[in-house]
Order: sequence, then C-alpha cells, then structure tokens
Amino acid sequence: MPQVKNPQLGREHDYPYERREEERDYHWGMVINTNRCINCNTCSFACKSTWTSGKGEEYMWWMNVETEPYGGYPMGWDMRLLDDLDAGQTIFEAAEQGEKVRGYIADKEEWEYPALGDDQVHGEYPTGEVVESDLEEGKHHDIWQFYLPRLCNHCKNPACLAACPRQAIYKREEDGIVLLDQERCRGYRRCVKGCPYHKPMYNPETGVSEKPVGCYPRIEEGFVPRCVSSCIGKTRLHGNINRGPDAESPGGDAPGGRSPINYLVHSDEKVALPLYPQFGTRPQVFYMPPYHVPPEFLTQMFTPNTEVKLNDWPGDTYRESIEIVQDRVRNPSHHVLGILQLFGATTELIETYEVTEHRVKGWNREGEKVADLPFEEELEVREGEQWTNQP
Amino acid sequence: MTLSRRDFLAAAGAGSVGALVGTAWGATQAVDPVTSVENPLKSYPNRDWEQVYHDIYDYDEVDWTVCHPNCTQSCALNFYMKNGVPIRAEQVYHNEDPSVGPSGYEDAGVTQHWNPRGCMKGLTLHRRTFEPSRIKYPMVRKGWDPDDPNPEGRGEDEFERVSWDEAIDLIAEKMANLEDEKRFHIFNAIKSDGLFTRHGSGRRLASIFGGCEWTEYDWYADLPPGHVITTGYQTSDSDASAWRQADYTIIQGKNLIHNKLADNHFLQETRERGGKMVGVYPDYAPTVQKCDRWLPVRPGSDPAFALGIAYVIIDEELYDADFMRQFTSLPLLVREDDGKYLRAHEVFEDHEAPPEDPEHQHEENDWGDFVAVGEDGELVAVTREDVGEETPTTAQLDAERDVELTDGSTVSVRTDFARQRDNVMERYDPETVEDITTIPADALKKTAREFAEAEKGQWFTGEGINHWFHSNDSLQRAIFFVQSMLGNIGDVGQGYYNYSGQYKIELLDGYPHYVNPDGHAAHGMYPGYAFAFFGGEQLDPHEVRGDFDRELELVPQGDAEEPVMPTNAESYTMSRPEILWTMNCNLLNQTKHQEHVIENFVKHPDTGNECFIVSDMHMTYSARHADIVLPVPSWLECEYPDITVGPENPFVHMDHGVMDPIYDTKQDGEAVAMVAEKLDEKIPPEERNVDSYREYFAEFLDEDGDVTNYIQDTFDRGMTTRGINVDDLWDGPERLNMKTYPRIPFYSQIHEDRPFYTKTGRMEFHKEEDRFLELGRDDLDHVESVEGTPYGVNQKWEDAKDEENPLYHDEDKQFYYNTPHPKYRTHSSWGMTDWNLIWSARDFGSVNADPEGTERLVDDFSFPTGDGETEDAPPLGEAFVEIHPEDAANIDVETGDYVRISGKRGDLVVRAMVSERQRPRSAGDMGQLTIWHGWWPQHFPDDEEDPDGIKGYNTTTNIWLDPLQETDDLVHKAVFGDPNVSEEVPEEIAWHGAELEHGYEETVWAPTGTNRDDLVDVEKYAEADWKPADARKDDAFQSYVGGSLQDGAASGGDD
Ligand code: SF4
Ligand code: SF4
Repeated sequence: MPQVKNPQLGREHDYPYERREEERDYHWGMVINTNRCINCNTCSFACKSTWTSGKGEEYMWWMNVETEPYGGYPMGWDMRLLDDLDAGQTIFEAAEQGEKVRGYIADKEEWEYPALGDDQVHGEYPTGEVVESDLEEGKHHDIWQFYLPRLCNHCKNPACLAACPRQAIYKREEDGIVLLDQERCRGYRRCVKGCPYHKPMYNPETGVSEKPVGCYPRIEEGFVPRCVSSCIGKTRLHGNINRGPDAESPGGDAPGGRSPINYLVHSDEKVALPLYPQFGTRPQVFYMPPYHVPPEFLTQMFTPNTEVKLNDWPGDTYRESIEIVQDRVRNPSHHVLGILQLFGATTELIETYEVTEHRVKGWNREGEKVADLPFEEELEVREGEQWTNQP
Repeated sequence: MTLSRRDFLAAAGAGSVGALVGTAWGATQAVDPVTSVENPLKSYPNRDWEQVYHDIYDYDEVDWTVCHPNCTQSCALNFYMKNGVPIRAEQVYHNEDPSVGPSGYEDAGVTQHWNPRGCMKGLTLHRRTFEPSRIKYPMVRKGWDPDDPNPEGRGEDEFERVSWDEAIDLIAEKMANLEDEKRFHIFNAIKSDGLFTRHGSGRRLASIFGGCEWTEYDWYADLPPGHVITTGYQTSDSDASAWRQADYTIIQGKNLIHNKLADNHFLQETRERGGKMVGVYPDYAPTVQKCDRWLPVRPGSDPAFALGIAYVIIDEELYDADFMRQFTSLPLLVREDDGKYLRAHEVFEDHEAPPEDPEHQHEENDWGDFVAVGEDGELVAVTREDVGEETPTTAQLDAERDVELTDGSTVSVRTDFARQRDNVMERYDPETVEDITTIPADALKKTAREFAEAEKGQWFTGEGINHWFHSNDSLQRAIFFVQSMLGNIGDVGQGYYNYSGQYKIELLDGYPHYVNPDGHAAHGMYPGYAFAFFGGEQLDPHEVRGDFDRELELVPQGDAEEPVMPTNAESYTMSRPEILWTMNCNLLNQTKHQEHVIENFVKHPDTGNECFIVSDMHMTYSARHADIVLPVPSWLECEYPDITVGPENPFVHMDHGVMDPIYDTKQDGEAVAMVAEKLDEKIPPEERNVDSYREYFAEFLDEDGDVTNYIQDTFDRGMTTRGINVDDLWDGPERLNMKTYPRIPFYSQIHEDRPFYTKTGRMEFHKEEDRFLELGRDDLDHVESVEGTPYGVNQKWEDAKDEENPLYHDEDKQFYYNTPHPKYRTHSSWGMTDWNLIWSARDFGSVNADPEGTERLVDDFSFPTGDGETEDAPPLGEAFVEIHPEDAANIDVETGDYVRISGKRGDLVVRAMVSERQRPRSAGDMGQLTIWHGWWPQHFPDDEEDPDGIKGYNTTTNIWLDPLQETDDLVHKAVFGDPNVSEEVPEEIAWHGAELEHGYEETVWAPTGTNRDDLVDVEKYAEADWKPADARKDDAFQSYVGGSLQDGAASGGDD
C-alpha cells in the first residue's frame, strides 16, 4: 500500500491511494473557536434546512454540536474507535483483514438522539469549594463541559474515499471538497463504516449513502458554508487552508500572503488543532481548544496522543502543545485578536487580510475588500440637551 | 381530484417528519463490479451528477422578514423561496452581493461586529408555519353560549368551525352588552413587539373602548423592582455591544448563553480582550462554562453575596468616594427617629416645605430639599437638582450627629452611607456570608478585590434571581450599591443589567400616540391579583404573601369584591375580566400556580370571565381552553407589516410576510378592526366612548388604507424615531436615535449631571417610603425566602439561622424547583416545531417517535380542530427534569425513569435525567430540580392516579406577591419620556412635558408574582427500560473522560 506523509502526525503511514505531488493552491478549511460556541445549534439547523430535509434524511444531522464529554452523535462514536486503536496507530494501519480502514457501523438507535447529553456536565459538585480556571496557575475546571461543533472535515486523507469499493467518493481538484457521487453509489455503506467522524450517512429511503458537501454550491460562488455564515457565536472562520505566506495577492488592492485561517493553523503562533489527528485522515477543520477544560482530555482529542511527540507543534510533548495553545487562545496576541474580528463579519470567503493597530480588513478571492472593521466601535454621543437614553 | 395550492402546501408541511423505515436500515452489503476510477484522491471522471446539490440549493427568489418572539432580540432573516414556499432562512449580512433581501444592518449604522443575527428558531419559522398544531379557521367552543358561558366545559368541549364574521359578531355583541367597559380586557405577553398590527391594535381598542390592558411582564416576575427602587428607572440595560468592553463581569443566576443567543458573542468576546468572568449559580448552568470562576451559591441567598462583596469594598476602602457623593443618596442625612430623609426646611428657616399631597409631587423639589454635612462639618442643603459636579459641597459620607430642627427639637441623624455601612459591617462579613450562601469567604474576598480593581465592571442578573421573592428587590439594590461604590455606572462596559423580558417599549417613545390615541388610555390592570384572587374561590392572601401581610391592613380596592390590597395602593387597578382576549401569549400554559388558575379562574362556575378569546397560531393549552379561538397567520404569512424594538440592541425592525397564508387566518389588527366596525353598528353614538370605533382602525378597513401611516405618525411623535422614514424599513432595519451608541443607561446622569428619577435625584439606598419602613426593608439586607429555605422563613439571617422551616424539616419538601428559560424554544413558542422539539427534549428527543426499547408514557400529540376532529403529530420528544445523581440514587431513579414531583400547590409526572450539573441536597440545603420552562402539556405523561389532572411544568409553582411593591408612594419615571429633558423636546413629541410618577405602572412598578421560592418533593413513579446513561457509565467512559482511552497514549494509557 502507498505511504502518505502526514504532517499532523509528523510521520508517514499507509493510505490506499497516492497523494498528488503538490498541494492544491486552494483547499477548503475551517477554524472553530470552541470558547465562543454557545451551543445554539443554529449551524446544525442551517445545515439541515439547506441539505437534509428530504425523505430518509430525517435522522441526519451533517452538522451537529455535541456537549463534551457526554454528547455524541452517533452515540459514543469517538469512544468506540479510541478504544479500538492503540496509540500511534491510524485507522488505516489498524484496518482488519480485507478492509482498508478500521471502523464500525453505528446502530440505528445510536443515530436516533442527536441531542443526547446536550448541555450536560461531568464532575463532582464542588460542595464548599469554588471552580476556577486559571491558566497561569495551571488550573482548569474540575467539573466541566464544552461544546464541540462537528462536521465533515474534508480530510486530506479521507477515510470514506479510501473505504469505498466503487470509488464513488472523490476529492475535488479545485477545492479539496470530498464528495460522494449520488449516481454511482450503491449503498454498501463502507464510507458510513469507515469515516471515523461518522459523517457519511445512509438513506434508507433511497438506498444510497450521502455525505456532507462542504456547501460546494456556495463555495463555487465565493461564499462560506451555511454552518459558518449562520454562526451567531462568531465561532467560525472559513477559507483557503492552503494559502501560505508566499502566496500572491488574489488581485486588486488585496495583500498577498497567508489566508487568515492558514495563520491560525500553520503559523508559529498556532492556535487551532485538528480533531483526533491520530485517526490519520488529516482533517481540515481546526479547533481553538477550550481553555477551561483539563488538558488530559484535550490531548486525547486534539493531538496525535502519543508519548513521543513527532510533529512540529509547540512544546516538547503533546500535552505541552495543548497547554501552550490554550494559553494563546485565552490571551490572544493582537494579530490573532485581529483575525478573530473577521469571524462572522461577512458571508464571503476571506482570502487575504490585514491587521493594523485599530482595524482589520479582509479581501475575497477576487481581491475585493469584503470586511473592514475597527477592533472596537467608537462611542457615539449625540450633542444637544434634548437627547436621552431613557426616553 | 385536484389539490388547491393551499392544500398542497399544508400537506407538504405535515408530512415532513416521518419515522425511519426500520427494515431499510439493513441495506445490501454486496459489492457489484464497476469500472474503477484511477485515483479519486486526484481526479474524478464524471462530475455532472454534482448538479443534484445545485438543484437542492436552488431557489426562485429571496424575501426577508423579522423573527421577533419574546427572546427580545429580533433578527432580520432572508427567506429563500421556491414555488412560493420558503425552503430555508439565512441571516442577513452587510452589503451582500448579489444583494438578496435587505441590505443588512449597515443601514443601521453599525459595524460588521453585529453580523450575523438569528438563531436556530428563526431558521425553523417555515417549519413552524407548517406544523400540525396550527389553528386553521375560527372556532367556537360547543358548550359556550354568550348568555350561558358554561366555563366547566373549557378545555374539554369540542369546537365548531365558524366564519370570521360570526366570530367577530359574537365578540362585538358581548362587548356591546357589557355594563362596565372596564371589564373588557386585552392581555398580551410582551410589550415592545406586535405594536401596530398585532396585539398593539388590541391595546388601542381597549384604550378607546375604556377597557383594561395587561401583560405577563409584571407578575411573571421579569420586572426587577430593585432597579426602580434604586434609580426610579424601569430597568437599566445597555446595548449588547457595550458588554465586550468590560474588564470584569459578574453574572449571577442568568443563563445568558441560552437566552440571549443572537448577540451573545459580545459577552464571550470580553475574555479574548483580557476580561474576566465570574459566575454565581447554584448549578453548573451552561453559562458557567464561559466563566473563569464559578461560585456555587445556595439558592435564594443571592443578596447576601452582593452584600458580602460590599463588605470587602467598605472594609478595605476600595470605594470611589467622589462618585458616591455626587450620584448617590449615601451622603444624605436620614433621621434616626422616623427613618425619613432629613429635609432642608426642617433645619433651615429659609427653605420652604414641599407640598404634602402626592398628587402634587412630580418634579424638582416637590419632595423638599435634602441635607448633607459639608467638609467643614456644617449642614448643607442639597436639592434634587444638585447632583454630580453640581453637588454643593464635598459632603461627608460618614456622619452621625444630633441636629437641631427649626421647631427647636433635636433629632439624631446618620448619613445613608453610615446606615448601610453599619448594617453591612455588622451582618455581612465574608464568614457570615459563607454561612448564608455556602460561597467560601476567601473566594468572595478575592472576587471583591478583583472586581474593585477592574477599571470597568459589569454585573448581570436575570429571571433566575428575579423569580425569588426577596432577591428580586434586595439583590438588585445591593448590586447597585456595589456598582455605585465602584463608580461602575454610566459608561460603556459598566453597569448593572437584567435583560428579562421584551419590555423596553420606551425605546419607541412616540408609541403613546398610537396606543393611547386622543388621550384615551386603557386601564393598566394589575394581573397578579387576577390570578391570585379573582377566582370562584379565594386563596388565603397570607399564603400568597409569604405571611408578610399579617401585619398589614388588607382592604378591598377598586372593583374587587375580595380583600386583597394593602392601603395606599389605589393606583393598582382591579377589574374582573368579563371578556378576556389574549393575543400573542400562551397565558394558561405559562401561568404559575396553574392548577389554581385553571380550576378557580378558568373553569370555576362562578368565574367572572364569561368570554375567553384566544388569538393564536397554534392550538396551545390556552387556545384549548378558549371559548372563541381566532387563528392568526405565522410571521411568514402576515399581510400587515409591524414594528419591533428591544432592550439589547439599537435597532428598529419592520417585519412583513413572505408567503401566502395557508389557512383561513387574520392578523390581530384586522380582527380588532372588524370588531371596531361592528361596535359602531351595535352601540348607538351617544353611548360610545369615542365618536366612532371604526375610525381608529380605518387604515385596516378602507380600500386604500395603509397601516404604515400609523407607524409613520408614531415615528414622527418620538425622539428616537423622528427622521426615520417607514418606507426605508422595507429595505432593512434602522437605528434608533439615542443619546449614545451603544446605549448606556444613565449616561446623562453621570456625564451631564442630570438627576436620577428618584425623590432625591440620586441612586437611593435607604428608602423612606412608609411601606418599606413598616416591613423593615428600608435598608439593604438579605432576608430568607418565604418558603424555599431550610431555615426560618422570611427573616434576616441572625433570626433565621437557628430556626427550622417545618415544610423542609417535617414535611420533607427538600427540593427547589427551577424552571430556567430554554433555548430551543422561546417560552412555549416553537414547542411543537419538529427539530426544536427533538433538540429541546435532549436524551428523549428522537425523530422516531417511539423508538424501539424506549417506553414512552406520553400519548400521541393531538390538537382538536372543528367538529370533533383532531390533527395529530408524532411525539418527537417529551419533557424531563434534571436531578443530581446522589438525589436520584436516593429514590432509586436512573435517567429515563419517570418521577412524580409534588408540592403544596400541585404535582406532575415527568421523565428524569440524572445530571451532574444540578445542586445536590448534600451541598447542605435544598436539592435542585431543573425543568426547562415552556413545555406543553402534551410533553408530559398522564398521572395514572389522576388521569384528568392538570398537566404542565407550572402545576407546583405559586404566585407570590410582595406587599412592599404595593405602594403608591414610590416615585419613578414613567415608561415613556425623560422628565429631565421633557421641556427641551419639541411639543409634538408624545412625552413632551412628562413628569415623574407615583405608584403602579405596568412594566415599571408592581409586585412581581415570584415563583422560585416553592419547595417540592420528588419520588419515583415508573421505571423505564431505556437508559442512555448506560452508554456513559462503563469503564470506557471513565477512561475517555480522563483522556486515557487509547493504549500507550501520551495522556496516560489504560490502567
Ligand atoms: S452556530 Fe456557532 S455558536 Fe451556535 S452552536 Fe453552532 S458553532 Fe456554536
Ligand atoms: S428567536 Fe430571537 S434570537 Fe432567535 S432568530 Fe428569532 S429573534 Fe433572533
């Protein structure tokens, strides 16, 4: 089997297909700041109302938000796979005889309760105590929860694609979106089984599987996906994850250089991490981790989770990586804070950006300015005796 | 057979949620051969199929409207239409290109920081429109007759379809025959929405007809009286964009991340900017997740926490003495003998005494001038206008002495500060506060010091606190005390906010022009009484008053035949509703003390209410009990535009429909106009209250009528809206004209030396009104709950702590019953909308109405239509109560089991969810039972012991009324107008010349009908055989939580 380089893991591993030689100029990507997420599920409803309100899709939530650690759609999806994997083993390496990836098919009942555990908390009631999170003192909430928005990661090593025996799943050349060909699929459900994030879903009415589409009809027009544009928590930023520091201006007055999400994920000031990189699929949704949650749990969820650290993330161990990133997210630099102002500012894809002392700007893929806002709105005071705030 | 378009749409909507087909789940596993694609990671040959999703995404056109429930936010949304039906909604953004719908909020002059607005409820408005619970045509209850109302049949009788004409005629006939017009009542849930063409038109009708008009806001306990007591102002809330600028936030008993979704990010963003957030809650409410520190508090003890903070600030002298001198009553002298503020005329010969009759007390020095001690120790007169920089002297905050009065006598006086300080220092040291609240003293001190040090500190409370009998004034007063000691009032990022309810109608300050035309105003009826006392049977007022009023003389008032009111509360209008017409609210579902209300107000043979009219979109619990049911269009189907404003954003929105109505509905305004027209036919001119009722609704009725004329006329009469052209609102929201943006309450008080709306012109801490003095609540204190405490009820701590509440200790009612606002619903709205119901039911919400392995005791959801028919919906979810694992184990209950909750006022059966976030009894006092507010009765199972009993989450709650809040003496600003500038504004402004007011005013000053103090017990009812908890309790889960589920992993590995 071919080997693929996986920078998230800092090593190579098996994957059934050769990767292309060069990275695409453009690749779908997303950053989610979990600290801003309020679990309103507007994203979930936006996705469902756009894509899955048809017959046989009643149970489908391509986008859902889970309350960690009790939530899970399908129930317990990540626990089950983590339990099956040894540290340092991707789902491709752990595949059983005759299969390409390690996975399981969730039972019908396990899909039935999308809101299972919603808003629940884990821990002891702090009788006579307080609960405190103070990163300087290494303190996190010892009774905790956090909200984890979950969606298709449009992986660079997609498990669904690897698993499909009919080769009905492919990665689009122009933007890396992973699609399931609705005409070619025969409903074998290997993708349903293989995707460790459980985002391909089977439609019992049509007998065909479906998977999230990355909102490609919107991406093609230069708009961000529905889960991003609908996010009232301003939790998300979408864009070109592959646009690095050397990329040229997209046109017009737009500056060249990194896309804002590339900065958050790939700069020296990394603040966003992939979900379960140890699965080996190179997911392209990146999370700014919650800073009040104990790092043990987050190390398991947002790092390769091996004793020896192989990738280029900050710190000497993965746990250190988590703690460093938590700190950066709690106390963002001016530059990161600037990029955070672009979250939810516009429905258009922000290709490049500029952060100055008091303002932040963003340009779309055509090089048109689509976001331009101050760090803070100025206080306006109306002159004249007759004006009041208590009319 | 041909389907009309209307039938087709209804059918399409109804079938939209179906069960999964179980057998189809086991699909083929065979792999049939197919030509292989070389490398789908790199390229794919035939991509024409991608058109499939383009087609799904495709739409014909975009229209926009506004979602505006009682969440108070109001969001403009674009609706994407296909074949005339909305297929999805999207949020609007600035300068969208291609331009779809409104241009966004940029016309309102705000930055892209406000994007996007509109939560998951806005996104299911179209699904709500197609729900089976919709009311499809007007109906009359079969057992009802105008002359023989037969109230016992309410809620049970079948309905009969009638025409609109018949329904309207019945209403008008009943109105025309009323002996006392005051007994025509319009009721609505919220104030600053539905203003012109929905329930606002009903209020206009009540005004010209001479009826009463009331709202859920006061007695529902959203009103925070402590704000009015301290500042004379309704509620001080700022625009959400100000939140972000705080350096320190204390958020107490308010689950803001659930109930202010649209603009919540402004609060979350404070932490990115170095802000700190501390939460005070009895449970790990979802908002605790966002807090740096959580201080777990004994429910109902909140005021002691704020007083403990005050202790540290005073003890360590962390306060801002200048601010206190300039803007508060703290330097003013108070007489020790009678508790009244010392007046200048009492000590200075040359000062005139104020008028004694409250009727003449409305402005400036009508209450006399006050007295402080100057720097040099001399007494100085301080008028109501002498505030801020104009304060005549650098007054001493701490003074205590005897003064000689002009009549030669001597009286002891102390400054207000000395009074409050002495009391706080004696009673609320952090160690005592730890005893009261269970919050560790160290943590309280640390919080107090940090908060004092922060440049800008803001404090939030909300319904969680307001709904406690004492906290709703004591805590609020104590927080203002802290905030004014720290100078945290009047600037961006500072303040004390409450944000409960859609009450901020003052922001549309021209509104009196529409709702009170030509000087006709409906009576502001005080609703708490209606429900507490206007039944066929009486409640013992002492039960409702928490025993408070045994000392108070109770006398009949107004039209009431019952002994209900303390003296000096003449402004509290009483009138038994003979015709009660509710619009825009689900009164009987949301009422507290539900059993009593249903049995003694709604169904009792002697109820005074002979005609109960409910206008609603859905067959709610209230509609089910109506005599006449009037169907209204959904917001997507409305024919007439309408206006909304709200307390946490600066926008004025105008909504309008985007699709044709699918049923025989009429918007409230049109129905009201039709009634008005009929009234002219039925009432001879000489008996009318106005020349013609119809004339006031002509824009609805005339061929060429245009209701936006009402809106424009109103805009022209208000300062906040002058210059806004109603036509511009078709293109998107505009911003109101306020003193500042973001709106900051009391900006002019602090920056322009304007008086607060109190007698002293300052934030008042000591209160001199007789009722406060009689009840011993003139100064800041914590008083134990009237029921919800293990200790002595209704007493200060030093007395309460050694006593036992018999209900808790002897009758074993050891749980308090918490009903926080839900997020997937707004109150009971969206209660039956499929996706919202699935999510709001959490572990018990499922698309498969009765999934295998789950024994559900709830029945099918059915809604009566005309002539005995019903419309059924799949039971996609059910209500549940959360209980801590220890308390659940104690009664052998696991997640999924059913429990019975019983209290003094009623009981209910409901699913249990074992939940670690609840406060356990082992924390030292009451265990917590949390049941999200707003469930419908269908969401509860029948209780087999009482199958016909009343079902709902409000069966165990009380309506507690606080006599402190039943006094005409309290001075405050009226809803509309600012007396400080009412002479400066042009004469055509609706509130030109407004003065300060006294006594009852809807949404400003009234007892609040609190409900949180009730104690209950919980027992197992039935075992269920499906337990999602199983999935969480195994060893794997323990390893998962600890981060050690993977063998040999960085974070530990399995042991
Ligand atoms: S819409 Fe945004 S804030 Fe709301 S749940 Fe989704 S990600 Fe979180
Ligand atoms: S419910 Fe409130 S927050 Fe949600 S969309 Fe409607 S108005 Fe906005």
